[in-house]
Amino acid sequence: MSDADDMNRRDFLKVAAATTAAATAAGAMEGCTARKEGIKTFDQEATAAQKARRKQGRSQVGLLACENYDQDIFETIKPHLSGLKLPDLKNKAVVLKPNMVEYREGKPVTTNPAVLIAAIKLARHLGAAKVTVAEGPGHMRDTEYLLDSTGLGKACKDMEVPFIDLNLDDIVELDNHGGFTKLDNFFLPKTIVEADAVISVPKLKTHHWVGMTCSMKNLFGVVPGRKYGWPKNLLHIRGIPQSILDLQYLVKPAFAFVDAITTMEGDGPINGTAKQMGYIAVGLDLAAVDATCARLMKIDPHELDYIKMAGVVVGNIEEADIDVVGPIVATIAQAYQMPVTFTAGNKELLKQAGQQGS
Amino acid sequence: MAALTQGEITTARAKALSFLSGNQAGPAQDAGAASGWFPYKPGGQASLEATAWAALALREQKDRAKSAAFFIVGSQNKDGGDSTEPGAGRSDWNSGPAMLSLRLLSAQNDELANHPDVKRSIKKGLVHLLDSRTEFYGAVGRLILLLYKGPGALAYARGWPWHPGCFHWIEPTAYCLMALKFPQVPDVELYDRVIVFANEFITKNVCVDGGWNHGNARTLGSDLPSYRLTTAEALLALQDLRETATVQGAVRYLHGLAGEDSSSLSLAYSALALSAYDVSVDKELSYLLKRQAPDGSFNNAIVQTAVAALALEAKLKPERHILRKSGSKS
Repeated sequence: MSDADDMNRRDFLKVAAATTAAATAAGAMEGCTARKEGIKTFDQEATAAQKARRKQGRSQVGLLACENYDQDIFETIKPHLSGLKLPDLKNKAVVLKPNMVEYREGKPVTTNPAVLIAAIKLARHLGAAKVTVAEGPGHMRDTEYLLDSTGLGKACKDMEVPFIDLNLDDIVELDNHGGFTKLDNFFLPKTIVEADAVISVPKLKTHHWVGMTCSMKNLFGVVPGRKYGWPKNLLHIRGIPQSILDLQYLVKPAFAFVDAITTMEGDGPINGTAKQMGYIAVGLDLAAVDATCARLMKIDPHELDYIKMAGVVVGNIEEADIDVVGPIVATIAQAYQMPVTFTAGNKELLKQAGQQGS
Repeated sequence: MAALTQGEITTARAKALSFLSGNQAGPAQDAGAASGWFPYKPGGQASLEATAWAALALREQKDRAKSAAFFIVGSQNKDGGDSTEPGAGRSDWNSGPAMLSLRLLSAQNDELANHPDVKRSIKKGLVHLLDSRTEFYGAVGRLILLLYKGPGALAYARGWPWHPGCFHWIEPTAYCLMALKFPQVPDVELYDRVIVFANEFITKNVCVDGGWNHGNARTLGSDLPSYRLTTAEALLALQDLRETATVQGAVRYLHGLAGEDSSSLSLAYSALALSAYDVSVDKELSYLLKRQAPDGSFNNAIVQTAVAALALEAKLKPERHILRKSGSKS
């Protein structure tokens, strides 16, 4: 990323100066007030080029019942796979990207190891020649600790699959001209860039900055800490919705395999509480997968900026355009307690996102 | 848990250094040469952070340390900072570890200390550290603050970001503070003021349990827990505040974890930090050595192995603790 390509500091300072002056006039200047006001809001229109990237045709999302983690999840869902249009991974090098953002004892923060094992088996079932698990944790640079504490490291060892720390992987510069973040370039891990197929294996959770996190937001973990840090604050400064959308285009995930068995509600993605859902969600169109998972949580996907825009530039988010394989969504949907940032009168709190982690 | 013997520690350190030596890219004898570096993982790209820590661990092997130092000098960007890998965009948080290493290596090696390229690089690097802190207000904003509230309004806690233009966080601030404080704080008053503001940023963001996490002690009304690693890094950077209640509380917090196993990186940094405060690290080192691979590495990673080697060295030769604060100025 060249100096000219990256964040234009002078632009930021102009904004900061203007807002500082305003805050002064209001007699409210404290600490980082100006910085908070500098956070980008999502008021962009998609360009023709961005719209052209959108998936065409209908989308399919599989909702596969799976009550708990105390079973062979792959064997449980296997009978239903024939009804899903999953990609042929024959002879491909496949990278599975779980969510391992942080560890909190007793909280469902990360993708469950049993789901990761099922995803590994699925990739092999679909013909993958090589399967790698890769993640770049967002808050903690101590990946060895996270692998130990979450059980995901043991899952990799048991399945004889290598793990790559995307935070420290070799990096490759990718062109991002025309992206939502206005960053002309992104440095991404070589493991992701060179993979034949990347599969997003997220944990379904509410999220206090963007409403919910699922297969698209999960791709934040591919952004390397060695360049952007822990947390990956540039993605917040440039706008979380914008960053999510740019990463869909840069990573081009093959499909999503969502841990929606024990999910999180309330102050997600770290500090919320467990809520039982009992499903694995699968689909090639990540916009459709996330929109469907939002409906499972009785969240209107149109209320979430990034999913709404994903419906314009990534894929389908309208119910009428998504074929659900499994139960009727409305029959299994549950109301989720939303983060305080998404309750009436509290949206001003979203301005804190630039100085907060995930 | 039985305490380790001197022999066990000596052997473990020697194996760690051997692993590091085997992962240095070809020898370099001149500033600017594109070798002498270390990757994060064997076979990987150059990493400024890995090179910085490995060079410190190997500093007794003067040729290796020298070639790594020249790599750091040659990788420096025009603005005096460093990127994670040469050419990988704008200067970022790696500027801290790179400058820390170069200053410490130079302080212990006359050839480096007297080399004009090294001297120039350190001078530029220190200036870059001053210029690369997180800034909340533009020039006009600062002027308004000055006029409206007086000079005290500009004396706000302020550290360093991971990436330019972003918010400040505990770890990059700790790295940059160490780069300014070791081997001594430069004898220019401006650095003292910068250090005060950065120290304040870290101490203000201490978690309720006494340590530090990435930098959000409290979010949306909830207290967040500390991380072992981040607490150790912050403690290394705050040794000039060792008598304060905040730092003493953090030492107690970190020492309180001594009976718990953890990762190589957390254990190694904990041992390095606690030994700088004269706290026993026998338990940490016992856990740590159980994680050493037959090839001498820790987690097959350069930074982990280098910090572990430094922690073992500090145990063997406390007087040679590379990051124990002397407190004097240069």
